[in-house]
Amino acid sequence: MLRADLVACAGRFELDASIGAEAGVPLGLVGGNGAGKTTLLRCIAGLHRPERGRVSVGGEVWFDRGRGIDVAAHRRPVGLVPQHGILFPHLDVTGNVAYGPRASGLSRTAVRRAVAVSLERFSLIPLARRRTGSLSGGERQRVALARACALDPPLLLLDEPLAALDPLSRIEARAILREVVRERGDRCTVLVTHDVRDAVDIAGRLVVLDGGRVLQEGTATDMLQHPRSSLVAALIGQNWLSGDPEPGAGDLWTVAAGELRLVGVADPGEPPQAGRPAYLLIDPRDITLHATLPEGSAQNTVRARVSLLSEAGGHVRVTLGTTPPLTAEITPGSATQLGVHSGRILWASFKATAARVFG
Amino acid sequence: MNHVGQTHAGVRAASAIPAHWVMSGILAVIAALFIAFPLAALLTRTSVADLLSAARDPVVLDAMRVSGETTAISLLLILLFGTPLALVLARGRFPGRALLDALVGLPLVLPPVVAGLALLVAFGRTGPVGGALGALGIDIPLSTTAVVLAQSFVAGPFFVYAVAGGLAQVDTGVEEVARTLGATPWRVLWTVTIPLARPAMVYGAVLSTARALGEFGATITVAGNVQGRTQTMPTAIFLAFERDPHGAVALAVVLAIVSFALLLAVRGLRIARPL
Repeated sequence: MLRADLVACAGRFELDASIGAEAGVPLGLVGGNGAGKTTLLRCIAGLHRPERGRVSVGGEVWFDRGRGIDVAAHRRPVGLVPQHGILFPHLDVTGNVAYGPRASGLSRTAVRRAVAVSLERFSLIPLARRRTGSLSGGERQRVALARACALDPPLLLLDEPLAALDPLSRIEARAILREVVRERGDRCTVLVTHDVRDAVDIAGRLVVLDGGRVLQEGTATDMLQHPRSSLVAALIGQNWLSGDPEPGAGDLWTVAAGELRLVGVADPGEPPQAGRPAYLLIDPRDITLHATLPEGSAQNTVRARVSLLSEAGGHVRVTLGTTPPLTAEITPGSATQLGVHSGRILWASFKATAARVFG
Repeated sequence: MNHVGQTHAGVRAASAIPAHWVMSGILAVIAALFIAFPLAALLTRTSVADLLSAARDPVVLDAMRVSGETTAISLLLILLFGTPLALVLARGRFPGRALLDALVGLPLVLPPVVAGLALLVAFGRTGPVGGALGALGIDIPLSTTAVVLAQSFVAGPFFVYAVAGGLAQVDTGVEEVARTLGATPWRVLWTVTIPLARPAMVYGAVLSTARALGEFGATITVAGNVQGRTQTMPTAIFLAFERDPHGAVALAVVLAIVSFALLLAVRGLRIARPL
């Protein structure tokens, strides 16, 4: 079990966060650039000294400012897969994987055995004697993983392990990561990523960081269904519109957000209240796009110009230039059929039952 | 050379070369000739017979031996003390770092005779260090030790600057990964930092060796010119020039060839190429 309650400074940036990872439940640290994810990881690994706080792993205290404890980085049994999977450029693949076992003073036979197991596990045997400069992005990532896992550390820290990869190797690398994390059993794993999809896919529990603070924490499903801020909603790719609520028939509420008036169903847990700001949450996959005014029962229809197109997980995300903007996610097929391009005027519609309104 | 040949071979190729390249090419050739011409002139003034007779001259042999020995010792000292100094310069964060950086470069810009004078004052019998050593019966001026001092003083900065520059290029992220894998700071230094800075270290060592081998001004000021003890190839050439210009030229050619071979070896072996 990992527990870190820290205040740390890096230049003018201040991190003030408490996170915990239970044994066997991989933790995903999510946030944008400069959220403090890497600083937090560095503090845990002992590469950055916090101003205050405490770090403990499985009952062992690694850092406690109050008690003057600060275990040196090389004495903390962690496996770190750094950003961009930095490898030792002067060593071959075997040399990289063997670095940890050698540094920890294992006997020659034990080193050889650990290296052989790790190379085999990450399908690196054909690359064993290759210099790291000639490896592809996916191969480098596998070497970095094999190196970090060679000693099966009680804590594995993964810093944006998928960020530097092209889309194809990403899919493969994600599958490998999922496998690695699963095989770790009841040891702790922390995955840092700016992509919630990766975190949801690999981690059981998520912590969202922003500006050095914890914004929200919970299970992946919890987070997807109930983001508590526009930032979390944006991170997980959901539409989150804030405005004034107005009760309608049954448990329907209308939220007036900017130029939009959208109808949704009140959330039973946190229903909206008249006179208090409310939020409407709508999954982009529940919004359909049309070339002409759609017929049918959808209570919400919006006509607007396409302001932004992006790709996400094989789907096309179409952002409409309304205030606030509204994003729909459609298949590449329907995108082609609709002739979607920036500046194209489209109709968007969604059912009130697909949208939820929070107080 | 190949390029020039091809250009002359085909008119079309020549006309395809942009004007600024032609201009740069002409100026570069002049610069290269400026270096090559005097050395070539030196070669025309000597003969194989001269070189062979020089190789049998005990004065020449002594000078070569003294040069070889002192340069080797200087290089060892430069490696031993220069590497930590380069580490401090490249990685240290302390007040006065800029001052230390400038201080290290001073021997590069000082006239060697000034360096020799400073060493003489410091290590001479009346100097603070020399006085103490003199009481122990160790006399530095006019000794082989003085030659080593002069060479290390003048040639050291080449190594320190080259290695500091190389160390600054080493990604600290690589060292951090090594720490997380259980390597002590000392182990990180030996298994990551120094191997990654090795090209810069080899380059710096070669520059320093070549500079130490050619050191003249500081050596003659602090160590004098005693055959078999303090007379190195450069100081021997200087002396021979007054007595026997022919022998001086032969000796000069030998020194030039050795230095050129050193520089060529580094490039040929590609050991100084960055990773």
